Amino acid sequence: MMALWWTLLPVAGAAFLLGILRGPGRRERERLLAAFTEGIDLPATAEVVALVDRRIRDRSVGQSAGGLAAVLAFALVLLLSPESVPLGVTGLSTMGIIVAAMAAGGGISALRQFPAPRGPDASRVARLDAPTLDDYVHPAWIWASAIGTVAAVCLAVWLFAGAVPNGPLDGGPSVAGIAALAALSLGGVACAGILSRRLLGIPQPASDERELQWDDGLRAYALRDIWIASIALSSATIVAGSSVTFSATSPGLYFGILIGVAPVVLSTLRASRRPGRRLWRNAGARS
Amino acid sequence: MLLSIDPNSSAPPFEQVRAQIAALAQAGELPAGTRLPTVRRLAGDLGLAPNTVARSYRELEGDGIIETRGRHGSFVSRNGSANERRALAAAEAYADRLRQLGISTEDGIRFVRAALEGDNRGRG
Repeated sequence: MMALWWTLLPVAGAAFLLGILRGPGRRERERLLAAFTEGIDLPATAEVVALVDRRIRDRSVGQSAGGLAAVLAFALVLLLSPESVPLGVTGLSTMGIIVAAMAAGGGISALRQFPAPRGPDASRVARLDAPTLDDYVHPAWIWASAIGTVAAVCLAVWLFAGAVPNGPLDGGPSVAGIAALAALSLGGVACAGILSRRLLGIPQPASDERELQWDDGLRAYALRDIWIASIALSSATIVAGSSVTFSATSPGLYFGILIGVAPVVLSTLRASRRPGRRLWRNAGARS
Repeated sequence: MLLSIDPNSSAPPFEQVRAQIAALAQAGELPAGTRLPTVRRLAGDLGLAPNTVARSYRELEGDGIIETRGRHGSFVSRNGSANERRALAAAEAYADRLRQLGISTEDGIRFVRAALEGDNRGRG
């Protein structure tokens, strides 16, 4: 098993490193761009397409950087504690951590001010009312993150207190490992809150309403990434904890697996139209 | 609610910001108590220097259109513009005079309405 991990990790690390150095290929960028623009469903000018393409490329590089960081951290854990090699169901928690790191990398890549699409000399628009997180991300994401974190911490505390119904699995996570994951998910939700505030405070350079609408779409995309990272960390803890708590035939274990897979499903959802519905309700009447 | 800056306009950017916020506040599109973006944020959005936006905010504050509440930020003033405050002061003086003359509220309002309508007819 160890040999398999030491084969997988360098391959994954090399793939992520390539992703950082080269960015997504032309066809991949076209696919990502089409998926995003179809999801947002707004008229796009050449400047807007260039802007979205650049930001999606940055997001992809950020995801690769996050993935590489997770692989390196995982390799370090394996070096220091080879008995922590996750087996079976617990392997899903590894996937959760990698999804979390990639999503966090994608979200963090948006934490800088981007240049105005039509250059510094064009006319500019700015909104006078400050949008809130609620305008970009459905509260269900934040609730899912908070509930997942509370569940993860409770599970870790419960296990740490000595309640290990089935005993530690062979090759499964140690209770200390689960506690470390719970601490990570607690840190994850705090970081998601801080990063969301930072992201909402970053200027949105735009020359007209349309560009601002696109920027809102991209901002919602980045904010969702940040909350997916938090959800993925708590789900990794829950899946690791449930593998210790429930027996192989228990429905609880399958519920844990379902939660473990959830972040992967969430990360494939198409771009949200929520900012368009909440911030641009009357845009049609104005334009 | 959008603010726009035209770099080719003859009006300097600080005046464009000031005039648009003043117009929106006076038209009621920016209701009293509305929190305005921070100087740094608005400057970043509009591609202006923070000092330019800060100057607009200072002038708006001087005109009584906005008020700054320390670290909480700048808000559209609840007291209205300087002109609205002057009108309110005149109304209070008028109300005091009515009381001194022993004229009823209904009559006082009737006189104001007649004066305003007469003024409107005169302008029309």
